[in-house]
Amino acid sequence: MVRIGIMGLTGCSGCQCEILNCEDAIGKLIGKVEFAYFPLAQDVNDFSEFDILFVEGSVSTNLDREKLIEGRKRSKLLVAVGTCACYGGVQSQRNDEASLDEMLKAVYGDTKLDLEVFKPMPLSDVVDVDYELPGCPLDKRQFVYTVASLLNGVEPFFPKIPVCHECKLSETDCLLLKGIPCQGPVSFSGCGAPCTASGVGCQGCRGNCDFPNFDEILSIYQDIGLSFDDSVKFLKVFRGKTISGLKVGSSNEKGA
Amino acid sequence: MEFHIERAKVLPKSNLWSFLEGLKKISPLIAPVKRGNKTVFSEVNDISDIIINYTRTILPPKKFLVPYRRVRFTYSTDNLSFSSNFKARDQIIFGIHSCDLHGISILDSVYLKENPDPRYLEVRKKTVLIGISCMPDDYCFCLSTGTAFPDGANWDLFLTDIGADYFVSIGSPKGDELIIELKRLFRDIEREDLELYKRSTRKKKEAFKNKKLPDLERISQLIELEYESPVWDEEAKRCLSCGTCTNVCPTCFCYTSIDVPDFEGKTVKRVEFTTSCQYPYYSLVAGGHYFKPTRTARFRHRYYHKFVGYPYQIEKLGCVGCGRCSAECPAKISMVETLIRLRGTDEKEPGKAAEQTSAGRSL
Repeated sequence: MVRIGIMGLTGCSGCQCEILNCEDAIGKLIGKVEFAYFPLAQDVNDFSEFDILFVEGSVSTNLDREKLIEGRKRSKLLVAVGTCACYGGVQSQRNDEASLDEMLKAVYGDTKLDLEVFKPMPLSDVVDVDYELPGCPLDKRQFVYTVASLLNGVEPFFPKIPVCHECKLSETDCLLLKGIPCQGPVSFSGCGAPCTASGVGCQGCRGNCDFPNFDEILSIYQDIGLSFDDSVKFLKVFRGKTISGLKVGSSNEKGA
Repeated sequence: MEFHIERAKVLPKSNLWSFLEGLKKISPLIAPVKRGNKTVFSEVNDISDIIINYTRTILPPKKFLVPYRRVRFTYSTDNLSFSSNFKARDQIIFGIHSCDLHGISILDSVYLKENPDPRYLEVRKKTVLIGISCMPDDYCFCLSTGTAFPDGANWDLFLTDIGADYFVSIGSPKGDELIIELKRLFRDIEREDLELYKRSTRKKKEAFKNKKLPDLERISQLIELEYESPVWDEEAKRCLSCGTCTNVCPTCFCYTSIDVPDFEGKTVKRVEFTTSCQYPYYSLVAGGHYFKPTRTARFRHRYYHKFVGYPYQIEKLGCVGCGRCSAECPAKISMVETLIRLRGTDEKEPGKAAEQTSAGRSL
């Protein structure tokens, strides 16, 4: 039987909860696959070997790192679930602005930690990752589709097209044109654009689409009243290391 | 079927709602309705939701002919037997503007001319298209594309506002049948109605007087001649590659298809969904090569296909001047502006033109 593991590192466990929310899919899966390791959901767990290991959360301590390296050794496929695992998550949004000491001081003051701690990083900084399912939290439909594909040896297909695709096809009025800051044009779709449909600008939780045009989006944000600094901060919230050191004015290279 | 002016009818405006009520009794009725500040085509339950005077919907009525996401078929991995539970239903689409009717006529050519798509054909056979006249806003340029008025015969009825009444042109036997079915609501045309009809045409043309319109004379050649123009780079710089322009276009038809297996791997769905030439992955092939590697290349490709590709494929321009791509673009890129700028570099002194056209624009 196919052995599946689901583990969490530094994160809020929201993605694991979201996986638990795929009730129909889990019902169908039980009996076909073995959930060998899923501490959030079950008491008896076996961390021996896996066909597919889903990992949530970023790597920010030596415990995270050891667990991840061990998991990678024991699994044929490793799938990063959620924005923390894929890009570092919101906890890494200031990685390029502050030193680790400053961060520790701000959060823990003078308390000594008996852990080795580092700046939060995505799984791919530590091990090879086979697939990434970003999102805060990840999208249930994508999880189900990925599991169905991987169980059948089919490569899941996630074109990195912008959120505008799903937003426009659901006939949502463009928020940028209404003057509401929205990251749709530079963010990876797959969520179904629920935020824009309820009038909230896309926060970019799924990271970059292919070759995002940051120059233009920054200029649009400034046109609608955001300062340059706020515009950059807005873009950085969920993008983790994929946007650190954002340079403006470097567009139209190959692929851009 | 030919456009027989003598068979046209007149629908008094006071009978419009009875007409719509009558249509709804015949088939599911799709019409423009309000969503937020915009208008969208949607199936209507209550005819009082229908918006008669609108400028443009976010998406064209295309979505009721070719859904943006559709399951083409499912197949069994055991014996490779294919099945589809697709079934077209009768539907009446009311309130389509002339540009969108032309858009559908272009889709007809694309889907039905060579290797007809049986599914599209079935949907088209079961769909009644009822057009309505309109007045342009600042994004419209249908007068340039020759789509400001309905012609051809891909529609069934067309209502032209002539003041107190609608002048109803009949475009097909299906349209004829509807008129017969709802005969009591119409009256015959009189000489005066013809005069009013002609005047309404003039009125629409006049409404374009102070608008910026692109000159589409030998546009295919222009695009080819200006293939290396710096205008492409300058405009593409602002392009977000978000695909809005193609997603809202009444004539774009590109799609991707993927196979989605179920958990057991016994049945697989072939899912087709709309895609856009503005997305990098669109031109990505095995081995990681991009046929359209730069934003400029992708940006130019859309114009090239609309104004060079379509005429070559179906002998019509691929643009109907509906203005959606410009009205919905988050970066406010305007097709009309781009075309005017291209014409500028073509027909003015090369050095000067570039200076003139780029002045006064903030990027």
